[in-house]
Amino acid sequence: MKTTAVEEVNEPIDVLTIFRDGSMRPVKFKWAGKTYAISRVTYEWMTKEGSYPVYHFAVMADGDDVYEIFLNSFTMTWTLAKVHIK
Amino acid sequence: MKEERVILHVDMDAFFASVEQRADPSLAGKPVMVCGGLESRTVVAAASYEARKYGVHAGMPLAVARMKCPDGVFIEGDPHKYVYTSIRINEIFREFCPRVEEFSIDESFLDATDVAERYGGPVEMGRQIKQRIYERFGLTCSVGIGPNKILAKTASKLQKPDGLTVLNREDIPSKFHPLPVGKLYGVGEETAKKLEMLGVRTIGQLAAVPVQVLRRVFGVVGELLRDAANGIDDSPVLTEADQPPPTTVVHEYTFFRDTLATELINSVLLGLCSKVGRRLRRGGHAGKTVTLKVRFADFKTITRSRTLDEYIDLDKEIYDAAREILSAAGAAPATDAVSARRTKAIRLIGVSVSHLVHTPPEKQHSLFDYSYWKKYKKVIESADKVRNKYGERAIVWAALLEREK
Repeated sequence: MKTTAVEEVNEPIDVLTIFRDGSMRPVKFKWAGKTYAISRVTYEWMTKEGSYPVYHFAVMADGDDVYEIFLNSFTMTWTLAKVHIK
Repeated sequence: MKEERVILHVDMDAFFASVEQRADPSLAGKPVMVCGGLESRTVVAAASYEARKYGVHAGMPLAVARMKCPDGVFIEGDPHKYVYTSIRINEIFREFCPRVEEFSIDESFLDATDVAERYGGPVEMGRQIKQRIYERFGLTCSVGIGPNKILAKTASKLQKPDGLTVLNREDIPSKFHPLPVGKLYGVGEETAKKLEMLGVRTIGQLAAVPVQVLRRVFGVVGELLRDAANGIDDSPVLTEADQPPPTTVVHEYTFFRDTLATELINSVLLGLCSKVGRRLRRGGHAGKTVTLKVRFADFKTITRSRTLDEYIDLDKEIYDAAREILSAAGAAPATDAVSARRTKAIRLIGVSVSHLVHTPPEKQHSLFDYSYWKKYKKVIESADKVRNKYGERAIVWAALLEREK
């Protein structure tokens, strides 16, 4: 029985990001010493921490694994929030 | 003659589950169930169409859904993702038409009476809206078009998912009346049961019941039911500006396990009062009646209210009133082993403040009380400013920190 497809991580990560035409696109991230190339951004959404936007991305990397990452624009830090377990 | 209105009802298809399937493409085509949590006592908030084939639907207890669809994928929902998507989708609607009513997180009404022709008519407008949503989010929706909200809402349900259906007045006998009465907007399970006892199974049969009979069984609602069954509905599409101010602010919490633990119950109660207070102050409201709802392990639920002499909006004021009600109701948590045996474990606790006013009158305090209250109010106002800038979790009651760990 599959009870969940998602595991919470909430660890800081380094992300290589391209800022272009008023938008941003994460292209690579480094987590636990390993670098993951992002092949596709599958979903984007935004939340707010007070008056500061937090930018969330669901990204496909390392094959078809999906990772949820976010940029907190106040602390200017990236976090790996969740990993979708296959 | 009064111009016939053009109302569109847009209903997102299996919204939460579809968003999750877009975010994780490996879930596409699989039975996906989005839940409030993954503990057995939660319910399914949304089921993908693949999951519905197994008989799973929104509102079904998770334990039942697991039995019906053991190989399904169960996901703890992420409300932020859905709220963000819903806001953006409603922005798309407003690009087409200014009169938009956000009916729920996944349903909106659009009054397109004055604008539909600009897009080549209501059907073409509906098609363009569907296309825009799909291009932006990869999500499908079902659009119903009719001369009022009831017919538009019914139409959107006739062809799902990814439907586009028109239900005009001339379609009422052939398409609307043969539908089961439970499909009529406003008819819930209880009403449907009562109607069945009257021998009413279809919307058409309801339309034929004399209004006096419906009035006798349902009171004033009887007339509304009869009108609805005849496809009569003059209710306007209410934009945000048209919405009436809130009459109550409520927050509830279901414990992970039924509990007798004093500290935990008090801490949850404080957290709820803090959330209610924050929402009151954000809206510039204050309220006079505090209501406490407690559901025990045996599902017995008590609701007790207290109306105060003055309007309140501060966390501690609400908490003090809620604690008093809790004690008076005999549901106060046990403080020793003896009373623990006498007290029933609590499953859910809720706090609401009602009788709201926008500008509360000045409080009548004694001098000492006033000075204390003024200081306390300043502290809360400062905390609100910190939260406005840095987020809700930037400053919390110390008593809540232990629970957060």
